[in-house]
Amino acid sequence: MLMNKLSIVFIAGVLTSQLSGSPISFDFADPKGVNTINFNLDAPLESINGNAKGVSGRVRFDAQAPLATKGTIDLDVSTLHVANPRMKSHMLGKQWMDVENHPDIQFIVNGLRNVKTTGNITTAEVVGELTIKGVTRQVSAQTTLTYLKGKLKARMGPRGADGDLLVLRTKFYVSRSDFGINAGQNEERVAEEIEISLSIAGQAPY
Amino acid sequence: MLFLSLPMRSVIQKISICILCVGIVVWLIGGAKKGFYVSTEERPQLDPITEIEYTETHSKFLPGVESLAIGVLLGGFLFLGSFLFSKTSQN
Repeated sequence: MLMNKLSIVFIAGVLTSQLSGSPISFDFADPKGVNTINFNLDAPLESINGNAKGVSGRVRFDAQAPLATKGTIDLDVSTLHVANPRMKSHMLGKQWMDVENHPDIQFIVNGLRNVKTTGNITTAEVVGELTIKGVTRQVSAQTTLTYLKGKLKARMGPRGADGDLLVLRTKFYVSRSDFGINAGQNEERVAEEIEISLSIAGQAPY
Repeated sequence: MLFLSLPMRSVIQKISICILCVGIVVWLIGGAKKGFYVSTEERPQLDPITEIEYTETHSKFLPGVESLAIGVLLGGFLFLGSFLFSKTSQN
């Protein structure tokens, strides 16, 4: 009798977890090297475009309950790249990004707002805290989250593990002066507003 | 002395125009960019499963606005300097 009760409780628990789902932790350190953050500064005299590939971090996402999404995306500042070597050296130097003292940029995802889900695509306003050069600011960004169930092996090839993928796409703007990035200097050549766009994939092996 | 027998002003002016033209042509070959030279090029790629568009970085030298500036400045100085020489040859 006791065993029957325990079995019912166990089955009910399994069914509940299957129906409600549970958050999956996606790792954004991409072994394929595809994950890229692009930045663009459009000043009156010069337009500066660059990217960074040193993306890592984890995001916990539940396709059934996307409001509870949490996580952290990190960027290795030393991977910031622009095509002109002299400009790159200046950008990473003490006056601008100061990579020696501030080697990471971090975005902590606190939650999602205005969530809409259609099929495997969720659009939402991601709310979080962005830290650049030790300065933390609240940031929100309209983001598309694409959940690709069981697609990890197809992406990584036959030797790859089975698992799921989560693709994040977003674009938002930050101000140099908000984060102490050589604020107020050279604005005719280096724009005050920085456009940041990213398309990154996280993987969750089974 | 063949060198001294040439009309120096004319020769220097021709050289300066050549330098100016080379500067302009090199700048145009580099894509007539407003910015400085670059040593890498981004080539667009597509990850087929995630449909993420990304770029791969490849080494490639492309001259920038410096080549135009060098051409204009050097050519200009030489052209102006040519007026220090007489119009006709010394012979």
